[in-house]
Amino acid sequence: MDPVPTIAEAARGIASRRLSPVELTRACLDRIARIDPSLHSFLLVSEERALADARAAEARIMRDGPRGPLDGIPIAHKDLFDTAGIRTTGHSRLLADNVPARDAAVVARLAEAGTVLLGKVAAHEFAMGGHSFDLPWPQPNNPWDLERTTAGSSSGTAAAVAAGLVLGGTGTETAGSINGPAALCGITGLKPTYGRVSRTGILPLAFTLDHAGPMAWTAEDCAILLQAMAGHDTSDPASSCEPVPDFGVDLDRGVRGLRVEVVRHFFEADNPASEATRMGIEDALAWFAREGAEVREVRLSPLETYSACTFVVLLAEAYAIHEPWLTTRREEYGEIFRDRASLGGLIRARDYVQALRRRRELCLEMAGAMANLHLLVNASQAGEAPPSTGLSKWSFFERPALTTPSALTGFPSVSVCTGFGAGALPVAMQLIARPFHEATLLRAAHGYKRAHPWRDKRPPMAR
Amino acid sequence: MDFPPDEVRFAAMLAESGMRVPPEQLPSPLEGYCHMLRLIAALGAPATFEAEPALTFTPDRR
Repeated sequence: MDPVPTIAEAARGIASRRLSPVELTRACLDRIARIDPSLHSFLLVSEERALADARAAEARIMRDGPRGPLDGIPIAHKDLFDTAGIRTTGHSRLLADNVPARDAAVVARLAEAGTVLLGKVAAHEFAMGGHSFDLPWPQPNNPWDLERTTAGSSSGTAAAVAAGLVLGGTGTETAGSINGPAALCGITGLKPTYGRVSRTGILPLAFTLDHAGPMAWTAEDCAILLQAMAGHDTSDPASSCEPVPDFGVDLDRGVRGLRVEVVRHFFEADNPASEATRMGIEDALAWFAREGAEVREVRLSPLETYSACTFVVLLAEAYAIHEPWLTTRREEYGEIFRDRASLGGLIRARDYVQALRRRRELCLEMAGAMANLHLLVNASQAGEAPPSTGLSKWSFFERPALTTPSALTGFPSVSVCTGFGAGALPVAMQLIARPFHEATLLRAAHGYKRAHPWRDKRPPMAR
Repeated sequence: MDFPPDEVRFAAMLAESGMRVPPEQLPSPLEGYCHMLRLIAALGAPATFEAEPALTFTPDRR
Protein backbone atom coordinates (compact mmCIF):
# COMPACT_ATOMS: atom_id res chain seq x y z
CA MET A 1 0.00 0.00 0.00
CA ASP A 2 2.33 2.68 -1.24
CA PRO A 3 1.38 5.44 -1.52
CA VAL A 4 -1.36 5.39 1.13
CA PRO A 5 -4.71 5.76 -0.66
CA THR A 6 -7.39 8.21 0.35
CA ILE A 7 -10.84 6.85 1.15
CA ALA A 8 -12.09 8.02 -2.26
CA GLU A 9 -9.20 6.34 -4.09
CA ALA A 10 -9.62 3.10 -2.14
CA ALA A 11 -13.38 3.15 -2.72
CA ARG A 12 -12.84 3.41 -6.47
CA GLY A 13 -10.36 0.52 -6.32
CA ILE A 14 -12.74 -1.62 -4.29
CA ALA A 15 -15.73 -0.84 -6.51
CA SER A 16 -13.76 -1.83 -9.61
CA ARG A 17 -12.45 -4.94 -7.78
CA ARG A 18 -8.84 -3.87 -8.25
CA LEU A 19 -8.40 -3.49 -4.49
CA SER A 20 -9.33 -6.12 -1.93
CA PRO A 21 -10.68 -4.88 1.45
CA VAL A 22 -8.81 -7.76 3.09
CA GLU A 23 -5.51 -6.75 1.46
CA LEU A 24 -6.12 -3.10 2.33
CA THR A 25 -6.86 -4.02 5.94
CA ARG A 26 -3.76 -6.21 6.18
CA ALA A 27 -1.67 -3.36 4.78
CA CYS A 28 -3.03 -1.01 7.46
CA LEU A 29 -2.35 -3.61 10.19
CA ASP A 30 1.21 -4.02 8.87
CA ARG A 31 1.74 -0.26 8.94
CA ILE A 32 0.37 -0.08 12.49
CA ALA A 33 2.78 -2.83 13.59
CA ARG A 34 5.71 -1.08 11.91
CA ILE A 35 5.02 2.59 12.69
CA ASP A 36 2.80 2.82 15.76
CA PRO A 37 5.38 1.67 18.34
CA SER A 38 6.99 5.10 17.92
CA LEU A 39 3.78 7.02 17.18
CA HIS A 40 1.49 5.70 19.97
CA SER A 41 -1.71 6.61 18.14
CA PHE A 42 -3.59 3.35 18.93
CA LEU A 43 -4.79 2.32 22.38
CA LEU A 44 -6.19 -0.94 21.08
CA VAL A 45 -5.83 -2.69 17.72
CA SER A 46 -8.83 -4.93 17.03
CA GLU A 47 -7.04 -7.13 14.51
CA GLU A 48 -9.45 -10.07 14.59
CA ARG A 49 -12.46 -7.80 14.30
CA ALA A 50 -10.84 -5.85 11.47
CA LEU A 51 -10.08 -8.95 9.45
CA ALA A 52 -13.57 -10.32 10.07
CA ASP A 53 -15.09 -7.00 8.96
CA ALA A 54 -12.87 -6.95 5.88
CA ARG A 55 -13.70 -10.54 4.90
CA ALA A 56 -17.41 -9.85 5.31
CA ALA A 57 -17.11 -6.70 3.21
CA GLU A 58 -15.18 -8.51 0.52
CA ALA A 59 -17.73 -11.33 0.31
CA ARG A 60 -20.58 -8.83 0.23
CA ILE A 61 -18.93 -6.74 -2.48
CA MET A 62 -18.12 -9.76 -4.62
CA ARG A 63 -21.75 -10.87 -4.28
CA ASP A 64 -23.72 -7.63 -4.47
CA GLY A 65 -21.27 -4.79 -5.12
CA PRO A 66 -20.33 -2.21 -2.47
CA ARG A 67 -22.94 -0.63 -0.19
CA GLY A 68 -21.25 2.71 -0.84
CA PRO A 69 -17.84 4.38 -0.74
CA LEU A 70 -17.13 3.25 2.85
CA ASP A 71 -17.65 -0.46 2.23
CA GLY A 72 -14.41 -2.23 3.12
CA ILE A 73 -12.63 0.98 4.27
CA PRO A 74 -10.48 0.65 7.44
CA ILE A 75 -11.13 3.33 10.05
CA ALA A 76 -10.57 3.87 13.77
CA HIS A 77 -12.59 5.53 16.49
CA LYS A 78 -11.44 7.99 19.11
CA ASP A 79 -11.58 6.13 22.41
CA LEU A 80 -14.52 8.21 23.60
CA PHE A 81 -16.88 6.38 21.22
CA ASP A 82 -18.56 3.30 22.69
CA THR A 83 -17.81 0.11 20.78
CA ALA A 84 -19.82 -2.98 21.73
CA GLY A 85 -17.58 -5.64 23.22
CA ILE A 86 -14.45 -3.52 22.70
CA ARG A 87 -12.86 -1.53 25.55
CA THR A 88 -13.68 2.18 25.62
CA THR A 89 -11.59 4.13 28.11
CA GLY A 90 -11.75 7.85 27.42
CA HIS A 91 -7.96 7.42 27.67
CA SER A 92 -8.44 7.33 31.45
CA ARG A 93 -7.50 4.94 34.24
CA LEU A 94 -11.04 5.37 35.56
CA LEU A 95 -12.46 3.44 32.61
CA ALA A 96 -9.52 1.12 31.97
CA ASP A 97 -11.81 -1.94 32.13
CA ASN A 98 -14.93 -0.43 30.60
CA VAL A 99 -16.42 -2.62 27.85
CA PRO A 100 -19.67 -1.12 26.49
CA ALA A 101 -22.58 -3.32 25.56
CA ARG A 102 -23.65 -1.13 22.63
CA ASP A 103 -22.06 0.86 19.85
CA ALA A 104 -22.28 4.64 19.85
CA ALA A 105 -24.82 5.81 17.26
CA VAL A 106 -22.05 7.05 14.96
CA VAL A 107 -20.07 3.81 15.32
CA ALA A 108 -23.19 1.87 14.34
CA ARG A 109 -23.84 4.13 11.34
CA LEU A 110 -20.28 3.76 10.08
CA ALA A 111 -20.38 -0.02 10.59
CA GLU A 112 -23.63 -0.18 8.65
CA ALA A 113 -21.88 1.68 5.82
CA GLY A 114 -19.41 -1.21 5.67
CA THR A 115 -16.34 0.24 7.42
CA VAL A 116 -13.66 -2.03 8.87
CA LEU A 117 -12.89 -1.32 12.55
CA LEU A 118 -9.12 -1.26 13.01
CA GLY A 119 -9.29 -0.24 16.66
CA LYS A 120 -9.51 2.57 19.18
CA VAL A 121 -7.19 5.55 19.05
CA ALA A 122 -5.74 7.80 21.72
CA ALA A 123 -7.21 11.02 23.08
CA HIS A 124 -6.54 13.55 25.74
CA GLU A 125 -8.04 12.15 28.95
CA PHE A 126 -11.83 12.59 28.74
CA ALA A 127 -11.13 15.09 25.92
CA MET A 128 -9.64 17.71 28.28
CA GLY A 129 -6.53 16.20 29.87
CA GLY A 130 -3.94 17.81 27.62
CA HIS A 131 -0.68 16.07 26.71
CA SER A 132 -0.38 14.04 29.93
CA PHE A 133 2.47 11.76 30.98
CA ASP A 134 0.77 10.10 33.97
CA LEU A 135 -1.90 8.04 32.21
CA PRO A 136 -1.91 4.26 31.64
CA TRP A 137 -1.16 4.78 27.94
CA PRO A 138 1.15 7.32 26.25
CA GLN A 139 -0.03 10.30 24.25
CA PRO A 140 0.52 10.14 20.47
CA ASN A 141 3.51 11.85 18.94
CA ASN A 142 3.22 14.10 15.92
CA PRO A 143 4.13 12.07 12.81
CA TRP A 144 5.84 15.13 11.28
CA ASP A 145 8.24 15.27 14.26
CA LEU A 146 8.00 12.70 17.01
CA GLU A 147 9.21 15.20 19.62
CA ARG A 148 6.20 17.44 18.94
CA THR A 149 2.63 17.34 20.18
CA THR A 150 -0.38 16.61 17.98
CA ALA A 151 -2.59 18.94 20.04
CA GLY A 152 -5.86 17.37 21.11
CA SER A 153 -8.05 16.02 22.13
CA SER A 154 -8.61 13.92 18.98
CA SER A 155 -4.88 13.31 18.96
CA GLY A 156 -4.79 9.64 18.04
CA THR A 157 -7.11 10.02 15.05
CA ALA A 158 -5.06 12.91 13.66
CA ALA A 159 -1.73 11.12 14.12
CA ALA A 160 -2.98 7.81 12.70
CA VAL A 161 -4.56 9.45 9.63
CA ALA A 162 -1.49 11.59 8.91
CA ALA A 163 0.83 8.58 9.22
CA GLY A 164 -1.38 6.54 6.91
CA LEU A 165 -2.19 3.87 9.50
CA VAL A 166 -5.87 4.34 8.87
CA LEU A 167 -7.80 6.02 6.06
CA GLY A 168 -10.09 8.03 8.31
CA GLY A 169 -11.62 8.18 11.73
CA THR A 170 -13.80 9.93 14.22
CA GLY A 171 -13.12 12.88 16.47
CA THR A 172 -14.97 15.02 18.96
CA GLU A 173 -14.73 18.75 19.49
CA THR A 174 -15.84 20.77 22.49
CA ALA A 175 -13.48 23.72 22.18
CA GLY A 176 -11.19 22.79 19.30
CA SER A 177 -10.45 19.07 19.53
CA ILE A 178 -10.99 18.29 15.84
CA ASN A 179 -9.65 21.46 14.23
CA GLY A 180 -6.59 21.68 16.51
CA PRO A 181 -5.03 18.25 15.96
CA ALA A 182 -6.06 18.27 12.29
CA ALA A 183 -4.07 21.50 11.88
CA LEU A 184 -0.94 20.32 13.68
CA CYS A 185 -0.93 16.96 11.88
CA GLY A 186 -1.67 18.40 8.42
CA ILE A 187 -4.91 16.52 7.81
CA THR A 188 -8.50 17.63 7.22
CA GLY A 189 -10.82 17.76 10.22
CA LEU A 190 -14.45 18.82 10.04
CA LYS A 191 -16.47 19.94 13.03
CA PRO A 192 -20.07 19.76 11.84
CA THR A 193 -22.87 22.04 12.96
CA TYR A 194 -23.98 21.43 16.54
CA GLY A 195 -26.68 18.75 16.32
CA ARG A 196 -25.70 17.47 12.88
CA VAL A 197 -24.01 14.31 14.22
CA SER A 198 -25.35 12.30 17.16
CA ARG A 199 -23.35 12.14 20.41
CA THR A 200 -25.25 9.12 21.76
CA GLY A 201 -22.76 6.66 23.18
CA ILE A 202 -19.87 9.15 23.20
CA LEU A 203 -18.35 10.04 26.58
CA PRO A 204 -19.52 13.61 27.19
CA LEU A 205 -17.38 16.57 28.23
CA ALA A 206 -19.81 19.50 28.03
CA PHE A 207 -23.38 18.88 26.93
CA THR A 208 -24.00 22.15 25.12
CA LEU A 209 -20.64 22.24 23.35
CA ASP A 210 -19.87 18.64 22.37
CA HIS A 211 -19.70 17.78 18.67
CA ALA A 212 -18.60 14.66 16.79
CA GLY A 213 -17.10 14.78 13.31
CA PRO A 214 -14.89 13.16 10.68
CA MET A 215 -11.12 13.38 10.31
CA ALA A 216 -9.32 12.23 7.16
CA TRP A 217 -6.56 13.19 4.76
CA THR A 218 -8.82 15.11 2.37
CA ALA A 219 -12.03 17.10 2.37
CA GLU A 220 -13.49 14.61 -0.08
CA ASP A 221 -12.88 11.84 2.45
CA CYS A 222 -14.47 13.92 5.21
CA ALA A 223 -17.52 14.36 2.97
CA ILE A 224 -17.77 10.59 2.54
CA LEU A 225 -17.48 9.97 6.29
CA LEU A 226 -19.89 12.77 7.23
CA GLN A 227 -22.46 11.38 4.82
CA ALA A 228 -22.62 8.22 6.92
CA MET A 229 -22.29 9.95 10.31
CA ALA A 230 -24.89 12.72 9.94
CA GLY A 231 -28.59 12.48 10.64
CA HIS A 232 -31.24 12.78 13.31
CA ASP A 233 -31.04 10.58 16.39
CA THR A 234 -33.96 10.61 18.81
CA SER A 235 -31.73 9.50 21.67
CA ASP A 236 -29.55 12.65 21.49
CA PRO A 237 -31.64 15.59 22.79
CA ALA A 238 -29.56 18.06 20.79
CA SER A 239 -29.80 16.15 17.54
CA SER A 240 -31.13 18.22 14.65
CA CYS A 241 -33.97 17.23 12.32
CA GLU A 242 -32.38 19.26 9.52
CA PRO A 243 -32.30 17.16 6.32
CA VAL A 244 -28.90 15.74 5.40
CA PRO A 245 -27.81 16.87 1.92
CA ASP A 246 -25.46 15.08 -0.45
CA PHE A 247 -22.12 16.39 0.81
CA GLY A 248 -20.30 15.27 -2.32
CA VAL A 249 -22.50 16.80 -4.99
CA ASP A 250 -20.89 20.28 -4.95
CA LEU A 251 -17.30 19.26 -4.29
CA ASP A 252 -16.12 20.09 -7.79
CA ARG A 253 -17.96 23.41 -8.16
CA GLY A 254 -14.93 25.49 -7.20
CA VAL A 255 -15.18 28.72 -5.21
CA ARG A 256 -16.33 31.16 -7.88
CA GLY A 257 -19.07 33.37 -6.50
CA LEU A 258 -18.44 32.56 -2.85
CA ARG A 259 -18.38 35.52 -0.47
CA VAL A 260 -15.50 35.12 1.94
CA GLU A 261 -14.46 37.34 4.86
CA VAL A 262 -11.30 36.99 6.90
CA VAL A 263 -11.26 37.75 10.64
CA ARG A 264 -7.66 38.97 10.69
CA HIS A 265 -7.75 40.42 14.20
CA PHE A 266 -8.28 36.91 15.61
CA PHE A 267 -4.90 35.63 14.40
CA GLU A 268 -2.95 38.88 13.98
CA ALA A 269 -3.78 40.72 17.23
CA ASP A 270 -5.93 38.63 19.61
CA ASN A 271 -3.75 35.49 19.38
CA PRO A 272 -0.89 36.34 17.02
CA ALA A 273 -0.09 33.41 14.76
CA SER A 274 3.26 32.35 13.37
CA GLU A 275 4.52 33.90 10.16
CA ALA A 276 3.97 30.67 8.22
CA THR A 277 0.38 30.43 9.48
CA ARG A 278 -0.37 34.01 8.47
CA MET A 279 1.37 33.64 5.11
CA GLY A 280 -0.55 30.42 4.44
CA ILE A 281 -3.84 32.18 5.07
CA GLU A 282 -2.90 35.20 2.92
CA ASP A 283 -1.86 32.87 0.07
CA ALA A 284 -5.16 31.01 0.41
CA LEU A 285 -7.11 34.29 0.32
CA ALA A 286 -5.23 35.28 -2.84
CA TRP A 287 -6.18 31.91 -4.34
CA PHE A 288 -9.86 32.44 -3.40
CA ALA A 289 -9.77 35.84 -5.13
CA ARG A 290 -8.05 34.47 -8.26
CA GLU A 291 -10.66 31.73 -8.49
CA GLY A 292 -13.51 34.22 -8.47
CA ALA A 293 -14.51 34.45 -4.81
CA GLU A 294 -15.23 37.85 -3.28
CA VAL A 295 -12.78 38.37 -0.40
CA ARG A 296 -13.17 41.01 2.31
CA GLU A 297 -12.30 41.55 5.96
CA VAL A 298 -14.64 41.58 8.97
CA ARG A 299 -14.30 42.42 12.66
CA LEU A 300 -16.06 40.43 15.35
CA SER A 301 -15.91 40.60 19.15
CA PRO A 302 -12.45 40.02 20.60
CA LEU A 303 -11.35 36.41 20.47
CA GLU A 304 -10.92 36.53 24.24
CA THR A 305 -14.68 36.98 24.67
CA TYR A 306 -15.41 33.86 22.60
CA SER A 307 -12.70 31.92 24.42
CA ALA A 308 -13.69 33.04 27.94
CA CYS A 309 -17.32 32.21 27.28
CA THR A 310 -16.40 28.78 25.92
CA PHE A 311 -14.23 27.77 28.85
CA VAL A 312 -16.59 28.99 31.56
CA VAL A 313 -19.41 26.94 30.02
CA LEU A 314 -17.11 23.98 29.36
CA LEU A 315 -15.61 23.81 32.85
CA ALA A 316 -18.97 24.15 34.58
CA GLU A 317 -20.58 21.42 32.48
CA ALA A 318 -17.52 19.13 32.68
CA TYR A 319 -17.58 19.43 36.45
CA ALA A 320 -21.26 18.54 36.54
CA ILE A 321 -20.41 15.34 34.67
CA HIS A 322 -17.27 14.41 36.60
CA GLU A 323 -18.17 15.57 40.14
CA PRO A 324 -18.93 12.05 41.46
CA TRP A 325 -15.46 10.82 40.51
CA LEU A 326 -13.64 14.09 41.30
CA THR A 327 -14.88 13.77 44.87
CA THR A 328 -14.38 10.02 45.35
CA ARG A 329 -11.74 8.73 42.88
CA ARG A 330 -9.75 11.91 42.45
CA GLU A 331 -6.28 10.35 42.37
CA GLU A 332 -7.20 8.05 39.49
CA TYR A 333 -7.36 10.99 37.07
CA GLY A 334 -4.27 12.35 35.41
CA GLU A 335 -3.07 15.57 36.99
CA ILE A 336 -3.97 17.87 34.10
CA PHE A 337 -7.58 16.74 33.74
CA ARG A 338 -8.06 16.69 37.52
CA ASP A 339 -6.73 20.22 38.01
CA ARG A 340 -8.64 21.65 35.07
CA ALA A 341 -11.96 19.97 35.84
CA SER A 342 -11.83 20.87 39.53
CA LEU A 343 -12.11 24.55 38.65
CA GLY A 344 -15.60 23.93 37.33
CA GLY A 345 -16.76 23.23 40.87
CA LEU A 346 -15.90 26.83 41.78
CA ILE A 347 -17.90 28.54 39.05
CA ARG A 348 -20.90 30.31 40.51
CA ALA A 349 -24.34 29.80 39.02
CA ARG A 350 -24.55 33.46 37.99
CA ASP A 351 -21.26 33.22 36.09
CA TYR A 352 -22.39 30.08 34.22
CA VAL A 353 -25.71 31.72 33.33
CA GLN A 354 -23.91 34.90 32.28
CA ALA A 355 -21.69 32.81 29.98
CA LEU A 356 -24.81 31.21 28.42
CA ARG A 357 -26.32 34.65 27.87
CA ARG A 358 -23.08 35.97 26.39
CA ARG A 359 -23.00 32.92 24.11
CA ARG A 360 -26.41 33.81 22.77
CA GLU A 361 -25.15 37.31 21.94
CA LEU A 362 -22.09 35.87 20.21
CA CYS A 363 -24.29 33.45 18.22
CA LEU A 364 -26.35 36.43 17.08
CA GLU A 365 -23.17 38.33 16.19
CA MET A 366 -21.89 35.39 14.15
CA ALA A 367 -25.24 34.90 12.42
CA GLY A 368 -25.38 38.61 11.58
CA ALA A 369 -21.85 38.62 10.20
CA MET A 370 -22.60 35.61 8.02
CA ALA A 371 -26.06 36.62 6.85
CA ASN A 372 -24.78 37.46 3.35
CA LEU A 373 -21.61 35.46 3.50
CA HIS A 374 -20.52 31.91 2.68
CA LEU A 375 -17.29 31.56 4.65
CA LEU A 376 -15.30 33.13 7.45
CA VAL A 377 -11.54 32.55 7.39
CA ASN A 378 -9.53 32.19 10.59
CA ALA A 379 -6.44 30.30 11.74
CA SER A 380 -6.93 26.81 13.19
CA GLN A 381 -3.94 27.05 15.50
CA ALA A 382 -1.53 29.88 16.25
CA GLY A 383 1.43 28.06 14.77
CA GLU A 384 3.36 24.89 14.16
CA ALA A 385 3.25 22.00 16.64
CA PRO A 386 5.18 22.82 19.84
CA PRO A 387 7.43 20.34 21.66
CA SER A 388 5.48 17.78 23.69
CA THR A 389 7.31 18.62 26.90
CA GLY A 390 6.96 21.90 28.73
CA LEU A 391 3.41 22.64 27.60
CA SER A 392 1.49 24.91 29.96
CA LYS A 393 -1.40 23.31 31.81
CA TRP A 394 -3.25 26.62 31.48
CA SER A 395 -2.40 27.45 27.88
CA PHE A 396 -6.07 27.83 26.92
CA PHE A 397 -6.43 30.44 29.66
CA GLU A 398 -3.21 32.27 28.76
CA ARG A 399 -4.00 32.78 25.05
CA PRO A 400 -7.54 32.77 23.62
CA ALA A 401 -8.24 29.69 21.52
CA LEU A 402 -8.75 30.33 17.80
CA THR A 403 -11.16 27.40 17.55
CA THR A 404 -13.67 28.77 20.07
CA PRO A 405 -15.79 31.03 17.81
CA SER A 406 -16.95 27.99 15.85
CA ALA A 407 -17.07 25.61 18.82
CA LEU A 408 -19.01 28.00 21.05
CA THR A 409 -21.62 29.02 18.49
CA GLY A 410 -22.04 25.60 16.92
CA PHE A 411 -21.27 26.92 13.43
CA PRO A 412 -19.50 24.27 11.31
CA SER A 413 -15.80 24.58 10.56
CA VAL A 414 -13.02 22.73 8.79
CA SER A 415 -9.26 22.82 9.20
CA VAL A 416 -7.30 22.81 5.94
CA CYS A 417 -3.52 22.47 5.64
CA THR A 418 -2.07 25.57 3.95
CA GLY A 419 1.58 24.58 3.81
CA PHE A 420 4.59 23.99 6.00
CA GLY A 421 6.38 26.29 8.41
CA ALA A 422 9.30 26.06 10.81
CA GLY A 423 10.75 22.56 10.99
CA ALA A 424 8.71 21.54 7.92
CA LEU A 425 5.67 21.27 10.21
CA PRO A 426 2.14 21.79 8.84
CA VAL A 427 0.16 25.00 9.28
CA ALA A 428 -3.53 25.47 8.58
CA MET A 429 -6.47 27.77 8.07
CA GLN A 430 -9.95 27.32 9.50
CA LEU A 431 -13.04 27.91 7.38
CA ILE A 432 -16.37 28.56 9.10
CA ALA A 433 -19.78 28.37 7.41
CA ARG A 434 -23.40 29.06 8.34
CA PRO A 435 -25.23 26.37 10.33
CA PHE A 436 -25.83 23.21 8.30
CA HIS A 437 -23.74 24.47 5.38
CA GLU A 438 -20.99 21.85 5.74
CA ALA A 439 -21.21 21.28 1.97
CA THR A 440 -19.85 24.79 1.41
CA LEU A 441 -16.89 24.10 3.69
CA LEU A 442 -16.16 20.84 1.90
CA ARG A 443 -16.50 22.46 -1.54
CA ALA A 444 -13.99 25.19 -0.67
CA ALA A 445 -11.56 22.83 1.08
CA HIS A 446 -11.69 20.35 -1.80
CA GLY A 447 -11.12 23.08 -4.39
CA TYR A 448 -8.15 24.42 -2.45
CA LYS A 449 -6.63 20.94 -2.11
CA ARG A 450 -6.97 20.16 -5.81
CA ALA A 451 -5.22 23.42 -6.70
CA HIS A 452 -2.25 22.68 -4.43
CA PRO A 453 -0.55 19.37 -5.33
CA TRP A 454 1.97 19.73 -2.46
CA ARG A 455 -1.01 18.90 -0.28
CA ASP A 456 -0.41 15.22 -1.14
CA LYS A 457 2.88 15.24 0.80
CA ARG A 458 2.79 12.84 3.74
CA PRO A 459 5.03 12.88 6.84
CA PRO A 460 8.42 11.24 6.16
CA MET A 461 7.60 8.34 8.49
CA ALA A 462 4.49 7.54 6.41
CA ARG A 463 6.22 7.37 3.06
CA MET B 1 -15.17 35.75 44.42
CA ASP B 2 -13.59 38.93 43.09
CA PHE B 3 -10.03 38.42 44.29
CA PRO B 4 -7.62 35.51 44.16
CA PRO B 5 -7.65 33.52 47.40
CA ASP B 6 -4.60 32.17 49.19
CA GLU B 7 -3.98 28.44 49.30
CA VAL B 8 -5.77 27.91 52.62
CA ARG B 9 -8.88 29.68 51.44
CA PHE B 10 -8.67 27.94 48.05
CA ALA B 11 -8.47 24.53 49.74
CA ALA B 12 -11.55 25.42 51.79
CA MET B 13 -13.46 26.39 48.64
CA LEU B 14 -12.59 23.08 46.99
CA ALA B 15 -13.56 21.22 50.17
CA GLU B 16 -16.96 22.93 50.17
CA SER B 17 -17.47 21.35 46.74
CA GLY B 18 -16.47 17.96 48.12
CA MET B 19 -12.91 17.93 46.76
CA ARG B 20 -10.20 17.11 49.30
CA VAL B 21 -6.95 18.34 47.78
CA PRO B 22 -3.58 17.73 49.46
CA PRO B 23 -1.60 20.94 50.13
CA GLU B 24 1.15 20.00 47.68
CA GLN B 25 -1.44 19.82 44.86
CA LEU B 26 -2.89 23.27 45.49
CA PRO B 27 -0.54 25.74 43.73
CA SER B 28 -1.27 24.66 40.16
CA PRO B 29 -5.09 24.70 40.28
CA LEU B 30 -4.88 27.95 42.23
CA GLU B 31 -2.95 29.43 39.32
CA GLY B 32 -5.66 28.15 36.99
CA TYR B 33 -8.34 29.59 39.23
CA CYS B 34 -6.78 33.05 39.02
CA HIS B 35 -6.82 32.75 35.22
CA MET B 36 -10.45 31.65 35.35
CA LEU B 37 -11.48 34.68 37.43
CA ARG B 38 -9.97 36.87 34.71
CA LEU B 39 -12.02 35.04 32.07
CA ILE B 40 -15.21 35.43 34.10
CA ALA B 41 -14.46 39.14 34.40
CA ALA B 42 -13.98 39.28 30.62
CA LEU B 43 -17.60 38.20 30.17
CA GLY B 44 -18.47 41.60 31.56
CA ALA B 45 -21.71 43.04 32.82
CA PRO B 46 -24.92 41.03 32.50
CA ALA B 47 -25.91 40.45 28.91
CA THR B 48 -29.06 41.87 27.38
CA PHE B 49 -32.51 40.53 28.16
CA GLU B 50 -32.73 39.25 24.60
CA ALA B 51 -29.78 36.99 25.38
CA GLU B 52 -31.60 34.83 27.89
CA PRO B 53 -30.60 31.23 27.21
CA ALA B 54 -33.23 29.60 25.06
CA LEU B 55 -34.59 26.13 25.59
CA THR B 56 -33.03 25.02 22.36
CA PHE B 57 -29.53 24.17 21.29
CA THR B 58 -30.17 24.68 17.61
CA PRO B 59 -27.18 26.83 16.71
CA ASP B 60 -29.04 29.44 14.74
CA ARG B 61 -31.50 29.95 17.61
CA ARG B 62 -29.68 29.15 20.83
